[in-house]
Amino acid sequence: MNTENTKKYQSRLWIFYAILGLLLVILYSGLFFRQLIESESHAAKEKIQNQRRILTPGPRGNLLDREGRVLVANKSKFSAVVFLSENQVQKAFSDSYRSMVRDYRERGEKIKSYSELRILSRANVLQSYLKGVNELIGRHEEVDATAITRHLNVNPLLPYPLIDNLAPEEFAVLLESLPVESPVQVYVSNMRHYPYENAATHALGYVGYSPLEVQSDMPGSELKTFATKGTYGRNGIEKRFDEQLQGKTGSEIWVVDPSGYQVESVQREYPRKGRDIELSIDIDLQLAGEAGYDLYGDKGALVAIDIDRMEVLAMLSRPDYNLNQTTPFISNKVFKEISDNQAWENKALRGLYPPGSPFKLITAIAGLKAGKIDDNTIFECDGSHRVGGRNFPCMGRHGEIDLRTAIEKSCNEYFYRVGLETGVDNLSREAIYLRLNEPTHIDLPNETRGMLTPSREWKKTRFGEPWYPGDTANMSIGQGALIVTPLQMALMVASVAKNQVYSHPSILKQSPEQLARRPAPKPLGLPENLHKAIIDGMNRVVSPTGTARAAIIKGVNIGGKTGTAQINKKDGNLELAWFVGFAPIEDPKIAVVALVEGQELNVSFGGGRYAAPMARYVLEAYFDKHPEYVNTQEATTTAALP
Amino acid sequence: MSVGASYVRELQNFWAARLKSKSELYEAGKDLAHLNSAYQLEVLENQSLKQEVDRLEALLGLPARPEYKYEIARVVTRDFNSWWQHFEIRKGSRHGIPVGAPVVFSGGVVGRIREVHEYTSTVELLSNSHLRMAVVIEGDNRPMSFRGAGFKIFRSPTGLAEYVPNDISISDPSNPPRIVTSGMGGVFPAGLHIGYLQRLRPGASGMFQDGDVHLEERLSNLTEVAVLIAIKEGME
Amino acid sequence: MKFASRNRWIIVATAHYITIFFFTQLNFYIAPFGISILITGMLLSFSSLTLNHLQGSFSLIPVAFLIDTKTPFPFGSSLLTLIGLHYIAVLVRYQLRRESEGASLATALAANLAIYIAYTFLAAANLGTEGINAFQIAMNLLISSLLIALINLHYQRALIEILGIFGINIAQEQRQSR
Repeated sequence: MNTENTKKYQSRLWIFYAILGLLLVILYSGLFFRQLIESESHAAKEKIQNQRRILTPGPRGNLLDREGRVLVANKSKFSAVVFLSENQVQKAFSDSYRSMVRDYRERGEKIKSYSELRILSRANVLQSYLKGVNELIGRHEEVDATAITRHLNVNPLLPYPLIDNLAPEEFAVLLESLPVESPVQVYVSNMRHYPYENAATHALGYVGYSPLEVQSDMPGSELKTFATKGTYGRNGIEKRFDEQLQGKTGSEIWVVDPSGYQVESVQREYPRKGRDIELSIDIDLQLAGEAGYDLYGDKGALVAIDIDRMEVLAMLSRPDYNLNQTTPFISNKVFKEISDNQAWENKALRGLYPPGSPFKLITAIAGLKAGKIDDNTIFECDGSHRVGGRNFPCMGRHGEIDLRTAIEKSCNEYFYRVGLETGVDNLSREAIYLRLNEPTHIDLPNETRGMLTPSREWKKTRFGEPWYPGDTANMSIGQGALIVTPLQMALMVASVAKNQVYSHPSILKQSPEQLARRPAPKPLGLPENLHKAIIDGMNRVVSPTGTARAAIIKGVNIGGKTGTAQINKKDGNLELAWFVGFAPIEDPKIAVVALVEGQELNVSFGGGRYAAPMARYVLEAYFDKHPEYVNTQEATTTAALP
Repeated sequence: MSVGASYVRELQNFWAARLKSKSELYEAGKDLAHLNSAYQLEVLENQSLKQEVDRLEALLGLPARPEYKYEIARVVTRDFNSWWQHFEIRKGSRHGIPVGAPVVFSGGVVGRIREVHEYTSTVELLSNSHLRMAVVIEGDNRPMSFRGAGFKIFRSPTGLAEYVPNDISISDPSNPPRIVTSGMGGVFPAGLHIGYLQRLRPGASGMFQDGDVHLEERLSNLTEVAVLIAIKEGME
Repeated sequence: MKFASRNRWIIVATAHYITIFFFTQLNFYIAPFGISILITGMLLSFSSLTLNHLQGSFSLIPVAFLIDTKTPFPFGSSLLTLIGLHYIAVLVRYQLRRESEGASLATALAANLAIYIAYTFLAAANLGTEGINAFQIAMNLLISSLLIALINLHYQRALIEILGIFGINIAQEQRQSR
């Protein structure tokens, strides 16, 4: 009996041992499996129903100036957030809701709306969390009940931000004081940051925040997906090079419980930063231009171009706005302010203006190329010129005057005569040859296509009228239907300076390969001596006797042309001040155009007084950086070509 | 009971020392005297440095940092297992030890007081995943997060640094960036050694990196630590 | 002697305390290697298989309280774990020859495994999953199990002998009860 018993127990013990052994084998093989094989055979494990995907945008690439200085970067934004999916929070939500319902019943009040009560109960819970955070960092923030509801409806998987803009010290305090298991945690996201604020606002552009576009090659595309907002370029370089700047979106796949809250993260791909882009902008020149503009103008544009490389060195448009106001989002107030100021538009490539006197250079070139004048042609200026029964005025009585002096003094009568002798067809052809009727094709978005070079055919088609000699006279001094952008004028002055026709400027710093691939500019076609006559005239403009004496820089020979154009408005004329220039005369490197729009009707507004000095700021900044082009012995600007 | 165990251990050590020969003890005494004089010199140097720091701080108008007093305590038990890393020290509320106080030793931060009893306190070790603090890389002022990452068999304790700025890299593995307390979080004074940054990998946000932190090896066999007790203003 | 027999749990609890004392010392010295030994399963095995269910519980409660003061889990977690396991063992023991040395070892190992699993869940719930290192848990469990396999028999015998000093003859009682 006893042995039988022992045997019976012995066999039971063996079963017990077997179970224990099996448990241990399962445990260790599970461990072995997790450590060694897991990664390969993970795929078919989870069902779609209980997985969700969260997408986090990769930070955008930085924008750098031509010397590698950061113009646009990302700034981390530290926030205090509540992880709503934590059990603790869920429980607090339902406890708070139940106690509120109970309170109502005890008071014998009727509950008007259960959903409102639910919203309120959640707000109470989050306010209590926020109170804890407030106490730690000494703030007095309050939660917004509607924002909580919106958040829960749209993105229940994402943490709810209690405070969005923690200072580094506050971040540190919360990091050390909040328990690791607390549903309230610090969270980091990023936003665009513009260290130079208003500088090159329009060229750089801003970003908008909108739901991430989901790339189909990302894992878990069949899963329900939640995404934090991504950044998309809305304007300027941010828009044009959005694809390169975009970071790689990171994704995280979570197993969720039946109510949709996170349980476990099963797969994670980290976001990656986008590519940095090196711009051709030189922030020193840009800031110099901004400073000049602050002093001499409110509204208009300024462009500086590196002629040899066809790169934009500075580009500004006024009115502008502080780019940091656009991030992390543009508030309604800021949006309205910018709209009211009409500050969205980049006037450098979208503003259309009559070119005024600087167009006289083209009139001269057309006359010279058509053989109607030469470098010694003299006309008499008696203050006005009568064309088709109408008097076309000049700003002065210049008497007998040659081409160089006519450019220096900006004599209207001289150029009426040249224009009339050359004819509208030659004038139009020359302007079109200099590409004044087409966009420059700069690598920035939204360049206008509205520029116009009038011609006989154009007028016939447009108005059904013939071309009159008065139209030619108007056109030869850059008035009439003729309209251009400041950027076009910058290319025009570069073309005149180098006796070559330029187009396709770039705002990106060009690599040596890109420069080598660039097609050679076509020749402007002026014989050397005639070209020299125009350059001489432009050099005299920026001399103590010229109209742009405000642009003089010691030791540098500058060529330029000022202009004052009129825009006809309902109640009178609005004047525009132009300055187009280049330097050094001997080997032109930089072309600058400044345009200032007059603010008051019928108020005279000279290019020499307003536009020329702001150009000088940019030129000075350029030659400070390039002392090799400055002639330290020569202190005057009256010298002609060597 | 564990306090009793620690006394027994001390008794062991005492008898171990008693059994040493006289010449051995004499040698040890001589070495200590040398060390002592060296330390005296350093104390003088430190005093003048402290005065200099105070003067500079006053000049810059920096807010006064909390002053601390030290409470030295012996380690009673080490409870470093797979789930948590705690140890008990032989000082408690009777000695004025508050919950949350930082604990340090000659090699930097040890951890933080988790529980206080009458005569003993539990200290959460730096490698405990439950401990988090604001740290900086020496010479940098951007706060990062440090968290314990546990103990591995036959390896030194490790930690995890989060929010490491992207421009930080480990250019020379033999001289990795040193992580010290930031002093910004209000619990730990600034500049205490934590460990060395080892491997860096991209962090969750893409804006920062995460890095492994190699902690002081001595953390796992501490016998004596100092608890820093903040002196509240007007208490002195 | 009747008093001792009725209050044998005190003797067993004291023996458990002394054992824990020694293992606390051992853990202190091996802590730098990242190893930690847990032998609670062995203590439970003796209390559950040798004493009756009430005496067993009484002997385990002080042990559980001691452990509870040391763990960062809510107070009482270890008590519930140990008492729960104790009663499972008590139920199982009727299926086994409980005086058999094999049964004692199997119970000790199973209980230790169960405690490891329970602690891992408790740690995940209370401390978060980040600090849990499955490999290290498995290694510590393995080392603890090997140690229990080595000393369990001696521990059981020693305790039976100690109880014998107080005039409690476990072997005889078990034969009689069958």
